[in-house]
Amino acid sequence: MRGIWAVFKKETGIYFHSFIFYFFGLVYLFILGLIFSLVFIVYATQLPMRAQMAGGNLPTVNTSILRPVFGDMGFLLILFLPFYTMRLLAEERRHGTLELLFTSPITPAQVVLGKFLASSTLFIAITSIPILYCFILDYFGDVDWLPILSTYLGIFLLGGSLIALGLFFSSITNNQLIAAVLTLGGYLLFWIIGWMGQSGATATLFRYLSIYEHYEPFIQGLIDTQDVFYYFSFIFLWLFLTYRSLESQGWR
Amino acid sequence: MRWEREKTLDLSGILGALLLIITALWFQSKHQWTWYHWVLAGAGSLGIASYFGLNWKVYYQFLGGKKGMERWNLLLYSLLVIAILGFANYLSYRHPKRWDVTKTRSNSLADESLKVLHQLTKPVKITGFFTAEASSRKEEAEKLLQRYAYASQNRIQYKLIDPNREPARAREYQVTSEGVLFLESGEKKISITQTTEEAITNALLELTTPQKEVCFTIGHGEKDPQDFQERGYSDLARLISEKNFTVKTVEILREGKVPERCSVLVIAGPNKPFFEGELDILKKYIEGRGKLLIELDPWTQENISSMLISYGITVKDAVIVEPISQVAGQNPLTILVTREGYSTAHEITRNIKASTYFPLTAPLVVSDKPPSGWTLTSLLKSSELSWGETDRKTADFTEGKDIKGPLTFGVALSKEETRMVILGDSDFIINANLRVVDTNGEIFLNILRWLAHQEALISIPVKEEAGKPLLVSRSQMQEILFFAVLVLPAVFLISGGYVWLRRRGL
Repeated sequence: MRGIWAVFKKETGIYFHSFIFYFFGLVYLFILGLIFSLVFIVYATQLPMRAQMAGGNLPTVNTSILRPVFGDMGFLLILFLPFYTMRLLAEERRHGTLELLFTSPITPAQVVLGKFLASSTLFIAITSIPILYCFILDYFGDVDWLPILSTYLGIFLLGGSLIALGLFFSSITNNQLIAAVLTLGGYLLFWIIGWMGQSGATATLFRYLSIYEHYEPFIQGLIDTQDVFYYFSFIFLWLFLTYRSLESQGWR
Repeated sequence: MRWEREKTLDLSGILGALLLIITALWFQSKHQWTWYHWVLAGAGSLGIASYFGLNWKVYYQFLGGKKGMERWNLLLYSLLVIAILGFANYLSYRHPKRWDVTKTRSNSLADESLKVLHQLTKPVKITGFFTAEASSRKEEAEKLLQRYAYASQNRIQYKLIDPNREPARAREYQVTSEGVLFLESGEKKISITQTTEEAITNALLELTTPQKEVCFTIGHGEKDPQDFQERGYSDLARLISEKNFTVKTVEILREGKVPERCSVLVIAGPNKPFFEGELDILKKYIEGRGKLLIELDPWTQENISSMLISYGITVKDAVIVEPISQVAGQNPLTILVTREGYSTAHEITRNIKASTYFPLTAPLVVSDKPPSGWTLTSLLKSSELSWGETDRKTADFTEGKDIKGPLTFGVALSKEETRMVILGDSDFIINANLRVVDTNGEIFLNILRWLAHQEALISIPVKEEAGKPLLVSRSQMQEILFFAVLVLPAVFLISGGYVWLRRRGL
């Protein structure tokens, strides 16, 4: 336990010093803020017109604003996270500090968990900030809060999964850029795999493997055990493979 | 030299892999495997084989020995973990548990649907036909059907088929249009064209209620449900048998009574008189909780109408002339019924929205003083500009002889358990007309359903969204933009910078 905490502290320290962290945070908040404002303004200005046409059955704040904004957020993560995770292990390998780690009493498992928890925690911190948008919306309209919480659960699970995958790719190379590219490729693979199936059974299988398919229900306010279980399995699998990868490298 | 050899081998390996991938994709898209494919696949395999085969020394070293063992170990262990995870996920997929946290419960079925699902005793199979172009409708349908499957603990199972890719199945179900759902349970099969929760739940309801028999009288020149010609009722018969009714013909004189198995009796436009004995049977049927639909045409030789007077309905010897039908391009002897013509006082006509057409219709006069115990409700009427023409040769309004509109031509009568509907026309649903106007069929179905005490169709409103208008002023909008786009990121930057500086030991 203490090993994990040590790695955790060190990683968060590095992040706070790293350019990529601030860059990621800034650009992410900026783009998301832009999307949010635009969607909000469009909604607010179109509403009186739509009210006249639809007569009573107006789309809510939740569906018109929060869903598209958070849906886009998922895709944004796919673009950003490779750069966020690429240095986690690749840099250590390049600088040779990985060997140092192995000579210390810290086990590979603790390394993996520590790094994962560090990056996930900071990820959660940054992505939680936009919840302030929801407060703005609540002031002007009526926000259904529980679906927002379920959306955030989805974001955290999706983010954790992507980070685990990124961590794995970072562990198999010592070049950060290659790690980032591989990670991006991995994300895209798991994203589009959902559309690859043709007929019944294979289509369902491919759709189940898609990382985005399991994210959508959360945005819509549906918490399903199969989605939660999928994400936990995903995180476990890639952390496990990262651990194995580190172990095998320790013996070289 | 060796360097070139290695490069060539690498190249052949990569080419081989590429060829195999191309072959696979080509096969995927065309679903044909011709000799081209064999050639490509063969060349691809050859390329890969040569790469591995001729490099074998490298791989032998890689996979052999102590390190090799460890690598095999790693691989197998990983595969095992993946297999276990896969299996566990499969279990979780089969037994999901869901929580819909939206306020409007927009991800779940309505309570009415859940009630119907409770009543399901037999498993239901739903087959939907959607082409690849209708992908959004298909997705909507799938989302909805998933909810039914989940809520019914998989007693409802569904399958979506593309009729273009499986034409045999499409023919089996006689699919003619896009987006049709077939619901089957045991022997019964119902089809619906709308993929809404309301339509599906009502179809499920129909599946679970036993079929009712609709008996058509014959022998008096009535329309025949087995007549496939223009003036027959065969299309109508098919329509109602798809809606949980069975269609039979009956000779009441031979049976001596209206058989027990008949839930509804239909007399469809007779033009010959009924025997005394038959009229007695009918009267007994009416007095004894009968469910009767009588369609009478103008100027036909029958004697049912005289019987109806005792129930407060007089069939006039005239035909309704409706000038406004000409607006829709119809001749004025056909009544074009619009919204105003449908009575909102009765469930048969309350929800009809589209127009219907009634050719050659006799007006009915509803007595102000119905016989005791009877409730009479007018269902359909013609416009104020119409009149009842008594002269068979001309269609001019003759003061004094012809009857001024608006004229009733459909009435519903009920007394305790007995229900009757009298219509002044039997042609609106003959094959020739039913094909053109399907709302005509809808009215007939509603009449049947009311007569058969068919449980009222459940109406499930689309989930209402509770949107409130946002009152935002322009300056407020600018503030929001400013806040979200500049302030938040800036705050992040500043706080981050603060942490950074602290750590640097400021």
